[in-house]
Amino acid sequence: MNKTGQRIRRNFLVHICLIIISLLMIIPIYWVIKTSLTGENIYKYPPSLVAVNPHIFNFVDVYYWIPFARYFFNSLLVSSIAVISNLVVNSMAGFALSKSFKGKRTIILIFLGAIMIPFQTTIIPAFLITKTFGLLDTHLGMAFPLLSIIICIFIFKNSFEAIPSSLSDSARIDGLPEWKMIYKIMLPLSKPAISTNIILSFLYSWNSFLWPLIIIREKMMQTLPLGLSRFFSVFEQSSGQIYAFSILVVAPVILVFLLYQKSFVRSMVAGSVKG
Amino acid sequence: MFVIKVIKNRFFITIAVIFLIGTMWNIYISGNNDGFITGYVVDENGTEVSQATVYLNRVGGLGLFTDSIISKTDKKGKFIFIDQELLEFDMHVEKEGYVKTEKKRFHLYFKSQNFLLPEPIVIQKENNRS
Repeated sequence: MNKTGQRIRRNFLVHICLIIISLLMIIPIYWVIKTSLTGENIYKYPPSLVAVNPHIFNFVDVYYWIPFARYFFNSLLVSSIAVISNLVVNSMAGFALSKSFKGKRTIILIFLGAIMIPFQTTIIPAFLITKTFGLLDTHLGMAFPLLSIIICIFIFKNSFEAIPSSLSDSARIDGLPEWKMIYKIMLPLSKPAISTNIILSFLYSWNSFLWPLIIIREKMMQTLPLGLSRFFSVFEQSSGQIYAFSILVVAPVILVFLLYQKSFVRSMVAGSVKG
Repeated sequence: MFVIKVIKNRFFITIAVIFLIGTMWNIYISGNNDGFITGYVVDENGTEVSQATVYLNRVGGLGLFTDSIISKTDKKGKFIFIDQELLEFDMHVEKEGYVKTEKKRFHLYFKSQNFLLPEPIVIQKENNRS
């Protein structure tokens, strides 16, 4: 067998393996979608591989059984606050850390140290601070610990460091203020970093469960993950509705990721080959 | 130029499509949410059955049942329920000299949806019972 034949055979086997692995990863997602469309009992044996008599009534039930629109609005508002705040605060922090100044190393070490502390251990002081600010049971209070995600500061820092300093130097000579330099020069050249910030901050705030669980008392202030947890406990026999709810919770995150995935992947790849 | 650039932007398209679908769905709902539930009752020969009693039972979120709401069929075998704020309900028909029909469950796409039963309810005469 010649070299080309061997390569085709090897590629064929690799692709077969990749297809099998992809199918294995898709099966749980397919199963959730199928159950949400059929309401089939998950313990049914033998399970049907295809959706028999699919319908959207499970989604309709979810919408009417709980205040879904309100929960969705709460999640969307909290995530929007977190995303906007992350973009503003992290870009400024990243810009500052991309410059040389005394104590920069200490600040970076403090930030890195803070990443290593699990959120659960700081939850009581975080609760007391939020209470002091009068932010319990509010949207801003729910977004409070996520207003700046440290890992996103470093993403901005790395992105800004990759921009030639001659650009900022010439802007400074032209009399551009520092804050305008971020807005006019740095951010337009850091689109992958912006996308990564949006995806990560949206993902963290949208999926946030423990923090809203602790600071929210009002039923109508709950977010979708809290609503899903409550739904699980009340409607434990309604597998179709639970799966439909799960899809409705996950769908916006997937949508945001799909919208920004190109820049997100570019940002990750840029990080990997840097230096 | 700027407008064309915005219209071609995938973020704008995504949000616009979601907004458009939502608006169209809400317009459709607002025009079809009077809560009319209508249908026909016929016998096994397809003849309209008048003065049959149609029972409608609301099904709650946890499958809980409520008291029946009743309607009578007219000469054409037609029955109508008005102002029903329902999402899911059971229906059966009774008439003297006829066999009570099995309960049949219906699910609506939104509350108070105007709903015409897709096919008439067939009620059998008692002497034709097999």
